Amino acid sequence: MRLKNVLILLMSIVILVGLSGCGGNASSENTGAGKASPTAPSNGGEDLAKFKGETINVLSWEGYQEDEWVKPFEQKYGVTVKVTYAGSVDEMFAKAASGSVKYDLIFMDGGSVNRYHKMNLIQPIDLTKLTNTKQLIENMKSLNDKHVVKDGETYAVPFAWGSLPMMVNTDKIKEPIDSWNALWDSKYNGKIVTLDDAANQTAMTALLLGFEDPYNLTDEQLDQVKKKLLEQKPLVRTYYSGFEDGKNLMASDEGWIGFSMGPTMITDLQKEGKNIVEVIPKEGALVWIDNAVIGKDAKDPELVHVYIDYLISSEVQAQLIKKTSYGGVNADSASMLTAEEKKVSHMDDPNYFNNLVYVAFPESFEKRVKLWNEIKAAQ
Amino acid sequence: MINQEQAVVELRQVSKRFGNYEAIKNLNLSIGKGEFFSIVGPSGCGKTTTLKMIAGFDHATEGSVYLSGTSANHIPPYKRNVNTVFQNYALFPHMTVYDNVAYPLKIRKVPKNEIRPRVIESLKMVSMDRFLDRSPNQLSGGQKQRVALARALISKPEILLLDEPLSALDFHLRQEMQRVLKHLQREVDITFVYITHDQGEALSLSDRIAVMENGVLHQVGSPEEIYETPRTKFVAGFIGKTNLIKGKMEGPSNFVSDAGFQAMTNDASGLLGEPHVYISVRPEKLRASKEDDRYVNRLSAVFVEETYYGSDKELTFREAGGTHILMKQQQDDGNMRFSAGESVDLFFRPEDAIIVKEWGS
Amino acid sequence: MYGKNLMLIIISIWVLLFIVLPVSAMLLFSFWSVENFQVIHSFNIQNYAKFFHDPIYLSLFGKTIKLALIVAVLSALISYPLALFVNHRGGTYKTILFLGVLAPLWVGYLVRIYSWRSILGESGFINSLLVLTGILKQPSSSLLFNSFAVVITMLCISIPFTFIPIYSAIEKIPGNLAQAAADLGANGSRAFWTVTFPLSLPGVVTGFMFAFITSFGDYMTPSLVGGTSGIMYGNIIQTQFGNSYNWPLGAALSMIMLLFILALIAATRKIGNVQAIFEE
Repeated sequence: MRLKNVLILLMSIVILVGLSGCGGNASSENTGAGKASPTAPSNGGEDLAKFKGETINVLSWEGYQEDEWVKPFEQKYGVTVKVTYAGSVDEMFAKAASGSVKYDLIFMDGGSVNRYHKMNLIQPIDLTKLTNTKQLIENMKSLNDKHVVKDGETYAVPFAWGSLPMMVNTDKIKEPIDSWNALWDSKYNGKIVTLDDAANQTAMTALLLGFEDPYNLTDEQLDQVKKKLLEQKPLVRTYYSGFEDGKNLMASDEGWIGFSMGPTMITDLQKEGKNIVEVIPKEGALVWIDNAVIGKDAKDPELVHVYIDYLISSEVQAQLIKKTSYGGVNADSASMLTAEEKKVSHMDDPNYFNNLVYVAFPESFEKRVKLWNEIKAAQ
Repeated sequence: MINQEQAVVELRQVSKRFGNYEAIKNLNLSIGKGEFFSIVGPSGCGKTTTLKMIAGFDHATEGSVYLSGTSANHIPPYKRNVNTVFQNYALFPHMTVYDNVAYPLKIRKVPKNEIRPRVIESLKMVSMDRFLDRSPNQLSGGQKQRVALARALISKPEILLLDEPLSALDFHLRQEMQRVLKHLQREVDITFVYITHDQGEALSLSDRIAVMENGVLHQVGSPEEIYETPRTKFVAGFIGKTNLIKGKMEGPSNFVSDAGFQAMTNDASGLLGEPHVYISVRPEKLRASKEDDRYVNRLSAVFVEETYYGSDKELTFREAGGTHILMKQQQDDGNMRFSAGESVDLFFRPEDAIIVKEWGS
Repeated sequence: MYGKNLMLIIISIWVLLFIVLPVSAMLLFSFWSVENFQVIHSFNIQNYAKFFHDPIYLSLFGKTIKLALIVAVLSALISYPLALFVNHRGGTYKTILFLGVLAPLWVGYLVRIYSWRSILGESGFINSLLVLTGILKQPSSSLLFNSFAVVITMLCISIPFTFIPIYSAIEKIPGNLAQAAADLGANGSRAFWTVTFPLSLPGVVTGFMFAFITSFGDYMTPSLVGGTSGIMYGNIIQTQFGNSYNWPLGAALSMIMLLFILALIAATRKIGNVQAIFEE
């Protein structure tokens, strides 16, 4: 019967491992020994003690709440920043909407603000309480405001941004690429990878088809997009389902050319020694701008305002760029960057935004998800 | 003795080793047609291994097993005309009683219309024909045993092997099944090879008995021979109770114990040269008084205790050499009472004194 | 007596918290609908109607059943001889062999899928081997990103789960039953098909169901190694809970899957009950 005992033990371990695997995602508290950092905000005669002992619950993307800038803030005000990370837009939305935890501060792409607003999950931001908004990059901010200002109230403040460019392996593809049409080119049959994401796939295809607003398509336009994507399907190696998945495909040469999830993906691959470059096609590329948003039931909105103001300061923004190579939102932070850092984050090129199309709230997620499922289900 | 032509099972110089362990040592055995043959011995004596070699589940390391005169060393179990009744019945739990008993016929592709009457006939033999559609799980131990018997006998094997078939049954059921077995064996006229550790069972059922110990065959003979004239110390002690005193032979029928006790014995001239032998006297052959002139042997002993068994009682003494001596006292022997430490003379006849060797052949 | 009651209470709480409540919530959701990202709490069956009216759901349901069946059949076909071997020939290495078969379970779920991707990929192990030995002139792209890769990867996950019940069913069969069959005239294969196999059938059915259910609900494997057509029923459910925020539809699709699996379990329960056969 010894074997039977081993069996039972094994099964229980398997089940436990399985369970923890299912729930497995980062929900980590930002405590632990922080590396001391120079930048602590100083707002003149502010009463530093008035927030003492409070906690800010943050729902964030990885990389947005690093010790380098969170620790000094916590020390200065005697507060705790408790961070929950989400792995995908879907997961973030599910977490915020489930209501099991009331988040004080949520990060999301500007396009999603509309939905959170409609679901009454967020509250307006009092711009008078923020001092750093005037340093925000001008054309980026005005692009963003079109999507986050509702009935004269601003619901979100930009924090970081990134484009969704094309990525091309120049070892494998020698000819210059300048159009999304390359992803429909039978020359690259079986070497094309693209993102398993209903809204952005549809939008990128709409860009190529020349539709004016890729996030507001008529049913007829959606039909054309579907036809175009069906045309592409046999040429595609696979639709990748996330950042790591996509990187893995390009790194192992399963894909030579693809629709990327952002410049970070490309710089990561370059660090692995791959000759993969970013291409902004002539039809334009999509750009997401992630915003800080205050939760409907925030315990102390005033503290959250102070934290947001701190996060968009030029010091924190420079640290963000250095650490993650996302685009920063504070124009003044450029002075604290090296030439190389400016180039990678496109802070050196004020025109970069002109060819980008905002990742907005689509006319209907449901229609796009259905369209995309139909493409994947097509034989 | 049974001659070669009649031998249904014959083991010639068979040895069986499992790694370094020698389970069977140079075994010679011949079982005749229609015999009820028992192999007895304590667990680990090699009786089950012997049975497995006859069934074909195990193979001799050396020597040969002959079935009806032909070497069976390379014949797989399913081709042998030998069936087994297993210790735990081994009924197929996913089949009904009927299907269990019909199994050997179906396997042997017996025509369908013959199967049913034969199954019923076979089950009638063991009085189980009312349980056709029962599942084995719904039967008692004795009922399972009967079904197992019917299943093993239905294809009329030449040899039926029974591996401690009654060991899992309670006392009364065992008695009843012993009668069933004895009766059946006469009726079907099949050679039964019966494995048991219960010497009483072997004595009451068998035509002949083989006694084994540690892979060695000690003696083969009829129950009377085995009981009355055991050849080794082990046989004398294992089959029935006996008193054994160590010593040696000083004449063909003159025994002297190590402690100096002398006795007249039956003829043991063959054992004169042995460095030491044992005198064996059954408890029921001892008397506390000289009953008649034939009781020439006198053993001085000290009374220790008495044990009451209902129909009789057993008195324990200690002789000069320190060996405990048992004496069976029948109820009608009168009421002799001894007190502890009392010296008593015990008497026995020369013909009841059997000389046995230390080891088997 | 007291300990037994306590155990019962704990189990009841567990079942209530982790099975009854979530499933009831899902059932409730499945009759609601969503408008403008607001859940409308009024009873209707439109979500269930969608399943039957929109061909995408039924066809994916069918495709998923087919794939799960293939995986379950292969899983049983591979696990059975493996279990026989470990049980009969394992000897003193039984425990080690047993752990060996279960080894894939020690690797994380995603890691396992990615491993298969690197084994089957164009620069992967199998292709390198085939090119090195000259069997292929250049690496083949047809090992990965198709149903074949999905089946292989799912097998890797399901074989241990199929192996365990089959092994324990075979182990439970008293050794003397096969001997009895041989003794009564059945050769090796007859003895196997008339005794060993029917007695192990409950384990086979249980193992088959394990493989079928794990494959049926798996949506990560198809999306990571299935290529452009790697969508299965589980993926459709998953997409309802994300951006499209159609929890009611997702709940209804899940309920259909749950009912289907429960029906299957009920149908196979009779043969899946090992206990009944060996009960004394």
